[in-house]
Amino acid sequence: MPLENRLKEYRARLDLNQAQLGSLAGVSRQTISLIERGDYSPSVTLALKLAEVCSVRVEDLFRWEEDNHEKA
Amino acid sequence: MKKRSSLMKMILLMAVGGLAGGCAGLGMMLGREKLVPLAQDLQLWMARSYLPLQLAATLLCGGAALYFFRRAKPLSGPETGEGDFERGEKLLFRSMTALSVLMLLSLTLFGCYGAGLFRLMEEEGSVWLLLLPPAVLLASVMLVVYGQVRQVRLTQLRNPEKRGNPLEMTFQKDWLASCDEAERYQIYRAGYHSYRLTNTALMVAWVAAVLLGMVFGTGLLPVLLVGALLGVHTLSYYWAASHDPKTGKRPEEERRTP
Repeated sequence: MPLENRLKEYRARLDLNQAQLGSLAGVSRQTISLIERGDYSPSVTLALKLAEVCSVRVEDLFRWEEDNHEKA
Repeated sequence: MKKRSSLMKMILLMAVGGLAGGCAGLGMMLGREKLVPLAQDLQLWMARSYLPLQLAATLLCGGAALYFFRRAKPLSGPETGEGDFERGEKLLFRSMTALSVLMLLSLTLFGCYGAGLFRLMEEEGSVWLLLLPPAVLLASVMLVVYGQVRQVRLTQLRNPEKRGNPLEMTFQKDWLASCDEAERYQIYRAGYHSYRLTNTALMVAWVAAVLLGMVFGTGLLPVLLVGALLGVHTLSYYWAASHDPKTGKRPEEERRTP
């Protein structure tokens, strides 16, 4: 997946586990785990919700790598 | 150039497949005299051995399911660390797989018993042959259902947002409704993968049904059955891809509706 994310890093800063972050964002613990591992790219709505929970911009949380996209 | 080589590859694949099928059919026709008695003996042996085979399958698969379930349970509480939680998920998945395999084996073994039943009754004629195997199958199926209910309950303990009672007819619908976007994506991806694999498997089954009909005289039914399954499988996919499964309408019809 060409989407890089720093979700785990920001979650650690907030001292939340996956279940707690999922609960705040309205998704399951499993979804948070899939996003952190890079196995799932969230929808725009979910990305915005996660950014709001982490009190950061979406661009700080998720990044689309040009190099990765070209390789793909 | 690339298109032409893809076309050539496809033609070559079809030719090889046709040749392999033709050779298999010819081989079976020529060896028919030996194959038919062998198949009949195998049928009789399967019918005779149903009970010990079913017992072995239940002990093996049921035992594996229970083993993995017991290891997953302590890793399912709300205070479990993330690494242990992931491990628990893998163990629970293995337990579910073991139970699914047991269900498949139970139905297949019973089907084989049924295929050889008439010949077995002619040779042995015991009434227990008619009563005991169905009771054993029923017990096996009930064991699988019980195990699956326990597994669903454990999954719901691990993921409290999951809804649905596994004993109700609406379980699958309720479960899907409680899944979020990533879980639905996983389900849909797995569904499509399964669709593609089943397509290939049904084509192979159709070829096998035709060859077996020619060699063993199994009649029209296997070919018609596989054909019907292939039809339902393919047409239901195309219908679902072009209609909203909830309303049954095409997207352009929904846009027109006020």
